[in-house]
Amino acid sequence: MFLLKSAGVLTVLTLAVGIVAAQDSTPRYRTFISDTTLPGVDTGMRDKDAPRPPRPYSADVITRSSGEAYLRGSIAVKFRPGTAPVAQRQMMDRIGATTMEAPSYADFQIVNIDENADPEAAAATLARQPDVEYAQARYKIHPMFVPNDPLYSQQWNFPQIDMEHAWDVNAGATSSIVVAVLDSGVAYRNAVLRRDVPSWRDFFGPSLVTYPALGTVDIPFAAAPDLAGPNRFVAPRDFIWNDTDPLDLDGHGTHVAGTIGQLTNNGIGVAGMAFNVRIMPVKVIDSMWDDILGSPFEGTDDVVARGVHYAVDNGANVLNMSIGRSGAPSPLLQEAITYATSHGAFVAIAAGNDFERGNPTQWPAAYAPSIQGAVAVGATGRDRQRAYYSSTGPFVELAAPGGNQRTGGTTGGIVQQTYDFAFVDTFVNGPARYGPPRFDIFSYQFLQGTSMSTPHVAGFAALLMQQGITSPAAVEAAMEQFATDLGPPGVDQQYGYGLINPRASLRGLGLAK
Amino acid sequence: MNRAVLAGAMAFLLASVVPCQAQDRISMRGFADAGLTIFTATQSFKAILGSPAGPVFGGGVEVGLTRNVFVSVGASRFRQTGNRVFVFQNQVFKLNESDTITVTPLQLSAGYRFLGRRSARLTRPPRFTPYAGGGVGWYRFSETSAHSTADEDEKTTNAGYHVLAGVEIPIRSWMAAAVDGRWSFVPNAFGDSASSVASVYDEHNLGGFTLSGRIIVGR
Repeated sequence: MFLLKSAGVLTVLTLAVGIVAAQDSTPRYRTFISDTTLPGVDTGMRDKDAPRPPRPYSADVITRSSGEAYLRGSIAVKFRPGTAPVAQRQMMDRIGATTMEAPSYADFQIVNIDENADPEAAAATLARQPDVEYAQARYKIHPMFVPNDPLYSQQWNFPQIDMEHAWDVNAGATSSIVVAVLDSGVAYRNAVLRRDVPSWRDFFGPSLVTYPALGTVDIPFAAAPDLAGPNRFVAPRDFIWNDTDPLDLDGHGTHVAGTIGQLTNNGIGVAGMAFNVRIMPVKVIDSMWDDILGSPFEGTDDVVARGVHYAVDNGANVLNMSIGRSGAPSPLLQEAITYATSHGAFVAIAAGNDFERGNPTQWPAAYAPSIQGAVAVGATGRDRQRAYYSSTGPFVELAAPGGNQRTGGTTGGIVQQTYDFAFVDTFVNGPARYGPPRFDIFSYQFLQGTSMSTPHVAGFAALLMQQGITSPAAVEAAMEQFATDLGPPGVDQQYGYGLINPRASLRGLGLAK
Repeated sequence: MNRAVLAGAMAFLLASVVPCQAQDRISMRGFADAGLTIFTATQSFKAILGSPAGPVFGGGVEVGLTRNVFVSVGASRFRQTGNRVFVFQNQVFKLNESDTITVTPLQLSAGYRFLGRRSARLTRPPRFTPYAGGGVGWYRFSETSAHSTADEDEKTTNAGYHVLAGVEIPIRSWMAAAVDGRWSFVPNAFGDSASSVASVYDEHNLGGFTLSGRIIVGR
């Protein structure tokens, strides 16, 4: 009887899997040959290392697309509801579009155009059509951190915002809160990737250097020892490789996830803001190694927007976006963030690191003031002053520790566990010392940037939601109402409402005090 | 402040006793109250405690100065635990942070009993004796929450005044019951703090209406 039942269940399951497999026509772009490796190696604090040169963004090095701020060959378009396919086709013809795709977790289309056509001009042409809600080029999104020199100090950032007392009120939230990290991925599991590593050319380095092919190599991955735990990660998704293995090939996302939820009181490493939450790794940013290994997608506006939709649809309560860009606005991202907040998810967005590069308006941060439940976060240093890089403008709503190594030295950055960059950035010392990366060796690195301040706010939001403030708009209001005013009195363009004050917000209002 | 309040109460009692000695009859009775207070700061109490009203218990001493005039001193206590909150666009979010409110009024009252003519009293005690009056009081307010520090706790004593009215019903020669209603006013008691829900609702009065059942013992 049991065998019969089991056989029946098996048949149903097989059919179900078959149906799912039949529906999922997405190609797989990579194969992991093993899910088991040795545990990650922790090399400890790297405070004695020599300063590393800044790591360039991938787009600065590998010009697999155009080296421009957007992708060529396609744009993102959203037609108004009810627009007939014939009318859509006519509009596409105006810009010489060939085909149109409807990606998953998106309410817009990707319209393919000629590689030589100007995507911004094509988007502008479409945007003028009455049946088009918006059209935009596929702008590339970057992580919002300023590369640093990896030295060691202590986590001054948590005392600065009185977290020790805040944790008395709410000890790191619970696993009922899910924080999505929309970033370069997270070191969330062990795996071995077998991959052919082709040669590539550094177009933007000091000289046009060609890096040799490495042949077929096994690249090991391990879960970050101080971040991973039982049932820690939920619904992982990779929009760069279009699969469910959002492994971090950079270290940025792992560092950010650490500030949100690094395991705490476990006797090792450092602490995180909301150390009991579950983390949803959603990879929407490509790194150097993603590009070298030939990832099929890059971190563009539309990819990020799909990541936002995915995170919300899969139950994320808080979204951390330590990413952004300058340039043209992105109605696509604006709509995605509005979708998130209107579906009960709070969104923390990096305000940008471009203050000394002309301080341009940052996207999607600049949308935050107009969306209740989304907050653009600036950065402070150890001295509680705005960090030199932290972008300013009317869109900055809150400030949190992001580090300032110009005034605070190397240890003026935010320390968290991530990869030991010596084993990841094997390309920084030229072809002679170039080799396959290892994503199973970890250290505690100091990074600075609004990328580092933003997860403080995301973790803070997780605590507030656990505390009982379930509306994203109310979470934002609670943060702003109790923020410690810095800079000119009142709301200003450097700190917004001020430095976050988690304890005060978590305590909320009493009857008299 | 407690000592000052107690000293004031003692002085009041002593002052009451002296004229009583000149009367043909001195009455001194004790009473115990149980009742319900509906606070004037309705929205604030409702936000924290889930209701603008709650039970109060108390007692005191009443001294008859003349046949109709009496003075009394009474204390009562209201204590409820709720939750700290956050208010956004009129929506109240209860936080996982317990909050205990204690209100302890000490009231000095003077009143007048409407007994009717003396001859009637001699033949048969009245079945119902209405009374009315007013007085002053000191209202001790304290608030503490689960993780508050001493600085974050609130402990204040505020002066106020009240009016009262009720009906007394004799049960035995040495015992009576009464229904007592009093409206207290304690202006500017709270609402100045940025972390005060009373500030959000612009409610600053600690007073309210208290309806009590009273047992009175004594002749």
